[in-house]
Amino acid sequence: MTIKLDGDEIILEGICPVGEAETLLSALSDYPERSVVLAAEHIHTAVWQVLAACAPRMRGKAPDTFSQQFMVPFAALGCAAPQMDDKLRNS
Amino acid sequence: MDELLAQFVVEAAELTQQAADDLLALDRDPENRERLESAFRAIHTLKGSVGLFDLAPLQAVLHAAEDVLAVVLRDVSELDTALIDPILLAVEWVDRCVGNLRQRGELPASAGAEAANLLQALASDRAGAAATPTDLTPEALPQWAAALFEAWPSPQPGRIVALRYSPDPECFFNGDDPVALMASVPDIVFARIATREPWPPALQFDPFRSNLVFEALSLADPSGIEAIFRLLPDQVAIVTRLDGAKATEQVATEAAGEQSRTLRVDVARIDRIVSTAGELLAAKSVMSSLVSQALSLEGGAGLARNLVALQRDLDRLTGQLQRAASDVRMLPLIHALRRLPRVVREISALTRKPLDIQLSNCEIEVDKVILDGIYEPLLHIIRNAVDHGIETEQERLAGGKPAKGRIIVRARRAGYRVELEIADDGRGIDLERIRAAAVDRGIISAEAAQTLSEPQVLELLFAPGFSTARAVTALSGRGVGMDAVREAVRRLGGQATIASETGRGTTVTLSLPTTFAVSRVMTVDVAGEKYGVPMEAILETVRIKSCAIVPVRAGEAFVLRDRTIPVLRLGDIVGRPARARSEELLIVLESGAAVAGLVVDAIGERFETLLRPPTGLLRSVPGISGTAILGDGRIVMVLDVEGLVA
Repeated sequence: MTIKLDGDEIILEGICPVGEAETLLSALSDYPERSVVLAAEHIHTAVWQVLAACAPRMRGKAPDTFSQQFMVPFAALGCAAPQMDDKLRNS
Repeated sequence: MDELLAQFVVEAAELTQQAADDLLALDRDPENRERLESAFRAIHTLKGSVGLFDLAPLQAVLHAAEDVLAVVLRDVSELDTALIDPILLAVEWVDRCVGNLRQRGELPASAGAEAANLLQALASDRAGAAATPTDLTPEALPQWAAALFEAWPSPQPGRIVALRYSPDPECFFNGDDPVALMASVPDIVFARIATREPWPPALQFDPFRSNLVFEALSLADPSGIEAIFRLLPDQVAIVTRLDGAKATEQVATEAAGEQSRTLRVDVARIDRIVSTAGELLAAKSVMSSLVSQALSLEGGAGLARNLVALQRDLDRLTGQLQRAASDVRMLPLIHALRRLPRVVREISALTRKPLDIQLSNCEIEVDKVILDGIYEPLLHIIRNAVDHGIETEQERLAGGKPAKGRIIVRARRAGYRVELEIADDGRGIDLERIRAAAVDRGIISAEAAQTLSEPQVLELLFAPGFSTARAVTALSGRGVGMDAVREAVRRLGGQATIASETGRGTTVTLSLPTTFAVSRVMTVDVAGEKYGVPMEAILETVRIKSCAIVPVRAGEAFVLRDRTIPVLRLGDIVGRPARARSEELLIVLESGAAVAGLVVDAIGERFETLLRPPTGLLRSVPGISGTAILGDGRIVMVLDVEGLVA
């Protein structure tokens, strides 16, 4: 398990694979107030999507520069995330 | 007119203008590829639009013109300037046809025959043109890449790669990890992530479907980036831009042209906003009387304070609204000036004087009323310059000047005004000839003429009825002189001056307001009607005994602190003279060096308003400089103090 519950916090550690997305989703849907600590060496896209869809409070550091610079701010937007422009869909 | 056709007429006018501008630029600089491409694009687009209607002659001519340019573009050859004339003729003919469409909804009857002639002219100049123009359209950047480059304007030119990665929704099952792929792209300088669909509520959310789209800009080698995504060619698009600065420009024009971020709005609608903003400004002035009413109430100090605070907010907001509304009416000068090069070309052909016109700083923005008002005066000044200033080619060569006469139209911002300089490099103004002509026409006596200084002589050019043209030419000298120019400019709130250097040329300078700022106006009553007087022109108001006003020659005057001031009676001016009174109320007005006392019945309120130059019927009423709206929505005519006093 790379997703650990510690009181009000969910800690992401080690290599968070695609399968952990479901675990994280249920942990966050049960208690949406829980915050997430980023401490993993790798976070799979599926896990990032759960973070983005639920937009929990987050602390800690993302595993790589791209994630830190772009995925963390994107996940923080939650439902306010920009949607792909329809005009550009097929281009 | 059919709405689609109406739209086409507006668009076509812009496209023909664009094509003509480009062709004229190519005439001077045949190697300019950008202009060549731009001309091609304009004609190509125009041809496309024409195809929507039953306008076969236009279609055929545009197609032929496009072919000529296509060959030049394809062969990467320089444009032979001999080719420009037939294309320009074709474009101008199209422009005329479009004008006909606008007015009558149909092409002129002669269109078919004219088209045949133009086709022949175009064909004879084109050597084996192949009709494959569509292949040559400059390839446009995909929209997403254009938007991305625009979102992150590169600080320095150089290679930059745009990447768009839309992972397949089922990609997790193939073992893909899109974030990991993106993290492996080197040198990402900008990225944005979007969702395909909005996030669903947690219970309906399927965490194993990818819902993301990535866009990024990288400074890395495109081949390295392609290698990362080599297994996902269907989910990735990569565009490389080589020269940052140049491509940005292309992006900008593409974006402006195709995504239409500008809006075409009927001027009447804008004017409604501007005038509502003006009314709001006037309505707001009622606030100050509310404040004094509140103060007079018992215990009303608190209410008054609140009103004052509210008034301050209202002041700020109406100010902002009024500025924003006026901004909408601002257009770059080039809108009025861009027709000049074509006109100068025509004048050049007519007078057989080779001419060159240069426009500079024409991006300065002015109110639409100014823009519409300056074209005619400018044209007249230019015609005058060619007729009276610029010498024939032989004379110029003999005088050691370049064969081509040069006219420079230069705009310059001067505070809240714009100065337009129209300079020619002709022979300058012959002061003796002006003196002689003025004496000839009985404007001044021969003795007086000799005592005039140079500026005073030049000032004669603006005298009504002055024109030195010995023969009425097709160009100028039709009885419309510089006085008409000055009058037109003055009506816009501007001034016209002229300077000349013998043998070197003449410069006419027009100083114009760029917009109609808020003016403070005071109302005066005469015979039961209200008129506005700009506060800036009012020196003071005085009440004097009627007998203090004494007749002086044809007029009247009174003495104020040892100064004799001419008297004007507003009642007489508006045709409703007042009966004799024992006392008179006068407003002392100043304009330039001139001062006059204006007799009125009563003085009314002071208020802020947007002073607009008179339009329509009011334009021909002398003594009126504009209209203003009172707090209750009534319109008052504002007096033209300069016209009254001078």
